[in-house]
Amino acid sequence: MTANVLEMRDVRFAYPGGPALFENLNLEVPSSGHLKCVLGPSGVGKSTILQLAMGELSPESGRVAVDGTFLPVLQNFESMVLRWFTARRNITWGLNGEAQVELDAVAQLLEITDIMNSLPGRLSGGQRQRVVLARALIRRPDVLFLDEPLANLDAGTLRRVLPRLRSFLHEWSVSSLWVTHNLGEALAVADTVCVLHEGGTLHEFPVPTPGGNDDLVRAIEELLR
Amino acid sequence: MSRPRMRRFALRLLGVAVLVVLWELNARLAFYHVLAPSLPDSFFPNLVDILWAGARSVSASAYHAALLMTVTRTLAAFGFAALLGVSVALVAARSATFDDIIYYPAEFFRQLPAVAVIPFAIMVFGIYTPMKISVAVFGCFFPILVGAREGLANVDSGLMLTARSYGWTGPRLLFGVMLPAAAPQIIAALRIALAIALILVIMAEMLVGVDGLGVTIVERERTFDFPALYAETILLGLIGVGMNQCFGVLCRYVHYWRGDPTWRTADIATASATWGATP
Repeated sequence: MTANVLEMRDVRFAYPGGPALFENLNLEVPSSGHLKCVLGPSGVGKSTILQLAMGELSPESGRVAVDGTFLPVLQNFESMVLRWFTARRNITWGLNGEAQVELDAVAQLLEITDIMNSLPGRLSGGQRQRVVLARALIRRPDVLFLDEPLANLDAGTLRRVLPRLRSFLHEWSVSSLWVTHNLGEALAVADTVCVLHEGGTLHEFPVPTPGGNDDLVRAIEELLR
Repeated sequence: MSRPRMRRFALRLLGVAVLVVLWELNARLAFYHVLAPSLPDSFFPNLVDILWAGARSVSASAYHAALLMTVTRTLAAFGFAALLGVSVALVAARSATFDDIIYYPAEFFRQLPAVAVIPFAIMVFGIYTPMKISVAVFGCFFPILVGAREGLANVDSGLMLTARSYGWTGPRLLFGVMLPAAAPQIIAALRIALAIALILVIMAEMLVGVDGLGVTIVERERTFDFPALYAETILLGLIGVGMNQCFGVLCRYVHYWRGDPTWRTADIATASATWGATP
């Protein structure tokens, strides 16, 4: 495997009939558990990057390469829920019985142990979102494409889950391209934070420690203004 | 029962009571003479006579045999059409070529009144049970095909993307994702088809009668036994209601995730294990 699990080189992309969203987008996600968060204002193309990475959209020019297996957790996570299965079956469907140990670990990590036998229709949006995330996590893909994967969580749960999730992804060597508009969330979880600007220009900031420092926060906030 | 539910139930009963009172007033005061002066008085018997005639019918073994025959034909036709319709819709949903091939034939035949095929069915199957079942299958098949096809074609794109991402293909995709996702539309189509099956079986029995409830009703009309005619017509309606209710109970188990608050967790886990068990 190469050093990068996702590479986007000189990508130009435009939606049909629209102006170019990206003129020259370059992005890579290193393999073996690197977490890269993409921040940016609405409409700048954060989710489009994920669509391009998943192969759901094709660039006009440039190269998009994923080296390994990937799984998405979309912003529209509701459509990813199998409403006829319990939460447990949603997560484990298609896996063999050996996944049980990992299921327990993922369920504890995401605080969904108590709802495993419930149908999605009886869960809150935040719980359903975590079920979808758990289903992707337990399969240990090489890279996860996450679009606001914890947007529906309350602040308390988010504070508890984020550091554990970061450790977990590092431990399992699952890299992630994580799109969010929440700077606090990005700094808590990411190894690298990218700020996306119109045209596809990216500014990257390594995050040496979870939460970052004041200078880093100021620098990113300045770019987000 | 809660107060609003009791009120709703009472209002629904009121609708029945109004019909009963109107019938009885018409029978006793002969309002029908205003519109049709030549009608004999026996044409609108009072409810007591109808009830007695109904009691006589349901206690007669000949009626039981006719009932059994009609219900069996209806269920056989419905079951066969359901199996065929959903299967064809599944193939069409997975093969654009097959979907295109069946498009015009399906559009043509679903517009064709099913009774129009009765002469053809008589020539091919004769006048007995196979003919009645085949006519009902013809009438039921297309609503099921169209409903199931619509449901399967409109499975959420996010769900299909999920299936692709997770590598769910073949039977796992069909039985674990597409069929349950399309279940609401398929169930709606099946509910309509069940009513159509009963209508067509009765119609075929009335037109080319040998046995069945359609024949007994026609015989009542020919012998001017109006109380029995009305009683057996009402009974036929009740059979339709009963079949629909039974179908509704079945749907509660098949479409269990619709949200029945009385279901226990163990029931849900069992039902959840049923869907997609094939893979």
